[in-house]
Amino acid sequence: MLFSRMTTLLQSITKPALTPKPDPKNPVKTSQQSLTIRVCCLSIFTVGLLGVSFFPNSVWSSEAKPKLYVASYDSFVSQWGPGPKLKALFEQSCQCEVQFTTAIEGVALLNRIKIQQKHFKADVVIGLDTSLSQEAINTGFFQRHNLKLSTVATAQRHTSIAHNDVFIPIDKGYFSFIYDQKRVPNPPKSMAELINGDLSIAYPDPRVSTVGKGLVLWMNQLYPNNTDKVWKQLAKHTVTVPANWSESYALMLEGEVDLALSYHSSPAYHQIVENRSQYQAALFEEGHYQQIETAAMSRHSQQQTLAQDFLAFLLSPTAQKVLALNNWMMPVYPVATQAELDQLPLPKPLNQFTPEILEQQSKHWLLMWRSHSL
Amino acid sequence: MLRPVVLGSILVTLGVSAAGLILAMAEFNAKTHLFSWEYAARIWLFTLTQAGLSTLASLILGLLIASGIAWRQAPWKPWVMASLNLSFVLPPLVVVLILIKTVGHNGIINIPFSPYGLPGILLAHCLLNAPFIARLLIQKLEQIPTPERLLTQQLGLNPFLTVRWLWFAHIWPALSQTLLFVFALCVNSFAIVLSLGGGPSSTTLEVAIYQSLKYDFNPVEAGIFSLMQCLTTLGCGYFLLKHPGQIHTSIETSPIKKPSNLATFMSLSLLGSVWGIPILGFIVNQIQWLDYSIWLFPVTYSVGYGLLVSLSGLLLVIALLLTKSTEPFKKTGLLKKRGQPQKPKTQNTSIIKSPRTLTGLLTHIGLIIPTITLTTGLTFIWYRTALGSVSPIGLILWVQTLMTLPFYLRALEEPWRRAQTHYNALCNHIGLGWLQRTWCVYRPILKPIAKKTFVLTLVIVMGDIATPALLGFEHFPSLAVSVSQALSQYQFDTAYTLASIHLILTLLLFFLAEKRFPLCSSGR
Repeated sequence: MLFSRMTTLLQSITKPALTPKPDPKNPVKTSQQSLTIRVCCLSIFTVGLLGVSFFPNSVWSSEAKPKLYVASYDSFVSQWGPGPKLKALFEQSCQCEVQFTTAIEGVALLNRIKIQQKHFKADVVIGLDTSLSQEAINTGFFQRHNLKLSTVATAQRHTSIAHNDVFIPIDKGYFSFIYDQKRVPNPPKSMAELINGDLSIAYPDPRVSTVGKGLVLWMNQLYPNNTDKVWKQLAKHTVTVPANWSESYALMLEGEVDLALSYHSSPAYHQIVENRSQYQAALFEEGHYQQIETAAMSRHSQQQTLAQDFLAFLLSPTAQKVLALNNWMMPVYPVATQAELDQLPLPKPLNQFTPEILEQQSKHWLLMWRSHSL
Repeated sequence: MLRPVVLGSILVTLGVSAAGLILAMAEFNAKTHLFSWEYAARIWLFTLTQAGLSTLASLILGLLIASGIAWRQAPWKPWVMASLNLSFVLPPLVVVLILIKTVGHNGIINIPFSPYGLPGILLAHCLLNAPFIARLLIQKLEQIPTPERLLTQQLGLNPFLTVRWLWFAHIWPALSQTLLFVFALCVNSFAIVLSLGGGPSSTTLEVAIYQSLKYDFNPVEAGIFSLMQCLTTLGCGYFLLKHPGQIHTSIETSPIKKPSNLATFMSLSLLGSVWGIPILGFIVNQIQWLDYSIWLFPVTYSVGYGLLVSLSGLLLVIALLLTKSTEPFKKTGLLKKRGQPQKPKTQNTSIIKSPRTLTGLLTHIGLIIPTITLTTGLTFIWYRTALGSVSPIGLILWVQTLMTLPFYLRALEEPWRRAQTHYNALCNHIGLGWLQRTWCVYRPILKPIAKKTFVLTLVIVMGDIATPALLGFEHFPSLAVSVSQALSQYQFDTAYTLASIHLILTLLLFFLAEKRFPLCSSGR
């Protein structure tokens, strides 16, 4: 239908509006003039459409309210994620409009900042975790938040976050492998058992996903001297390494793999939203590496005050609850969420790498993973 | 006037892309420590291995399909032949989802291996390329002289010897080029490898370029992989040019008559048993028609945008070809040869032509330079300048328009040249200008094949995710991108609904092209 309409439209454009009077002296010339008009109209139509597509949206929309650009990863701003709810809540009080920019995952978000630098349109960036904080600071894109709130201090105390004058923690969780009890009645009790076993696994790509990178850190914390052998062994029963957490986790839900890397809090989603308790986190006796997600404001922001307000808002009890129940991570500020989430068994925590070690070793560890996961 | 402008724009784009790659490599050379020649060699080896195995598997499957259909005269045959082209236009991401839904853990068919990694990549490539090879084989097998076939029967040759000594003797010249073409397609495969492979163990050069830039942020590595990819496709291109064989695509001449409605029904039923059931099952299970808010905008955007790109591509190609039509007699050689018997023009149905002309060269550049390589350099320049703060939709549009040029050039250049040879003298004699001769003389000749190519490019543009993947999905809410985004946002129902709609749209457009312009050829 659309095709025929388009054809009709084009035909109507290319047909002359008025039938030209025949020129008895030069019939060819008259006809050619009308053709010129038709082709010119067609060209104007095409060039016009091309031109329209080049203009940014802002040209066509009025800007009554100030806009706050917030960058995050895909699943954060998706319809079911915390992004839209946080936006609605913040807009009620700020008299502004929150607009999201997305990247596929947290590491990809940082890469985007590295490429675009000051041209990256974001006042606030959400979703870089503490393993990326030093690398993020080195870009020169971020600035100190200068917030003097008790909530910030409390949250930082709860997470022992470094670089606390730039990044504020927003949620946390322990990396865990999630399995379906109906399919895997005897889950591995340790990382060693998982590595040397034959249960199929999937995890997101560490080069683009903070979850995948978490596994790299976890392995390097547990096996600092023989990580290469561990990766080789794990590759034998790794079905695939998708780009993001969502695709990796879906493989476990659809039965393509036995275990998928996620967070220890992920089963709470299935219990609260789907009322299904078959999905569980495999708790390993060696301990679990912790992830702390952060938010920070841009040095190039045109809305400094709004950005600061938004960071403060992220630590409010309301926002913390939204984050916990939509991002399915643990809050960094003590706030009651729901029994299923609050009463989750906590894994044994592992020591966190310092920002200095991460800065020095991250690339080397990733290279090792890439070279030995073949 | 138009031709230099268009050619200049294309060359500037290529130059800017190359400059972008060089700049990126120069700027980040000191900061990057992640490049490993060992990894590069392994990826290159995997690229060639998967492409070789995919081609071989497609050939075997194509032979099996062809042997069952060739020489049979049945009313369904024309539509089966036409439907074999369908695989050429199916969106790769939709093929991946169909494959997972069909042979995955919860799929219709149980297979003893996972549809991920190398087996999945081979299966998906087979699904796309085997019908394409089968179509060529059927056409070539039916050209084997009957006496030779009778002779093999009288000699009592077994099927293997018949294939070896009779079939291959006749089909090899065309088949070798087709296999090389399929090999090149598999080397340049992006969405399938990204979706079913992706990890370090199943990554091709094409995907590695994307991963280097988007995952590792390693422009040096992306640049080196781009060069390796260009050299690999250049090698394929060299062999294709060295032996310009006959590679038939969906827009080529077919000796098959226009099918009746009954034939349509019967052939579609037959096709249904091959891959219609998985496709239909996929659509019926996944689609949420009522929730039109999910699919209305992506569909409108995809169709509107696809029409714009296809139209831009068509206009650009016409601009490229126009000047040639107005060349004076001496350039066309007609005056010199007047009075002499004209050498009959053989109908060249090859999609690969010798680059004797600039447009011919452009066709080869389009074939040789992968879109992802072209986009890599442009992406870097775009995001490192003030342009990076505005939507790159215009750049995506331009790159995709360039992507359509080889298709239009392949389809239109030869008939345009023939029409020009036949009618230029007359046009010049009666004083028709370039515009009027284009409209009155060339348009009626080229209209059917231009329309069909238009629909073909529309479908291909709608299924492309390689270009927006590098420049940013959020700026480009097309159907294919929306499917990909929904998958990455844990919205699987939405993803499957959008994929089903995408599939239906592709089938409708394909049906439109086959029904409305069934017998277009470059020679008519």
